[in-house]
Amino acid sequence: MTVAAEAAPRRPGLRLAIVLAFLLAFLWQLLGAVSNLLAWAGFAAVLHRQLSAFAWLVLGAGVLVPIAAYVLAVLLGRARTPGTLALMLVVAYAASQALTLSLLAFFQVGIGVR
Amino acid sequence: MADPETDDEALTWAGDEQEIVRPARQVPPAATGRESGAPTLVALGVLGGIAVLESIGWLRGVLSATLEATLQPGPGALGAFAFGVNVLGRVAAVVAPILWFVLAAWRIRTPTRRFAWLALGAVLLLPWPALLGLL
Repeated sequence: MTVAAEAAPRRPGLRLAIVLAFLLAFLWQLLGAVSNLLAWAGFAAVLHRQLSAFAWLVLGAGVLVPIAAYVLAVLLGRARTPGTLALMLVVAYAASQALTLSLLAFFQVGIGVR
Repeated sequence: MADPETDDEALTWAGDEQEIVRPARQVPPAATGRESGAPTLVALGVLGGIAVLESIGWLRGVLSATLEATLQPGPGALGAFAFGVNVLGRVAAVVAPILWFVLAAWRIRTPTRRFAWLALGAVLLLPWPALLGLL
């Protein structure tokens, strides 16, 4: 994302703290996606069945979304001020949550819950 | 250029108690350093409206029974913490379209890139849980 030209960052400690704080939030989301994938794979195994390709696709995308959102926000915000970096990470986190819920809705349709 | 004091005198009648105030000078748009053409404002308004509608859709989707059932408080302190973080995530999803719009409209100066990011956000953040519920 090309944002307004800003002065070079002068507070690397603050920037690092912001990046690490948001890393925890994204890791929590990643943990949820991975546990969801493992739970459904285990559930299918108990029933002696395989997860469908659609289920793998949706659950796998759920794992990739928080990783992609975090990496993209850090890359795009690395040369910005701490405030802009934090704002970009907030938007990335919110968008990641929305996309995860969209995938969950598609998954529910796929397994016939909706 | 006319003398302002002479102008004031010309705009005042003898016996008038109320002084006629001269209109404030308009600052030309170019002097502000931002483009403010009507098409740009209309496009921003439309995309902002879409963002608000998407947020309303997300609110409906998050409050739907099928998604609400996936959010249950667990036992103990860890369960309560997890529940709180997950509720925060749902709130973030609801405000995501508006946050995206604000960030792109406010921080991106290049018009083409700004509208590209705004359009991407409008497509990416469609409230599928609500839309799938309606289908």
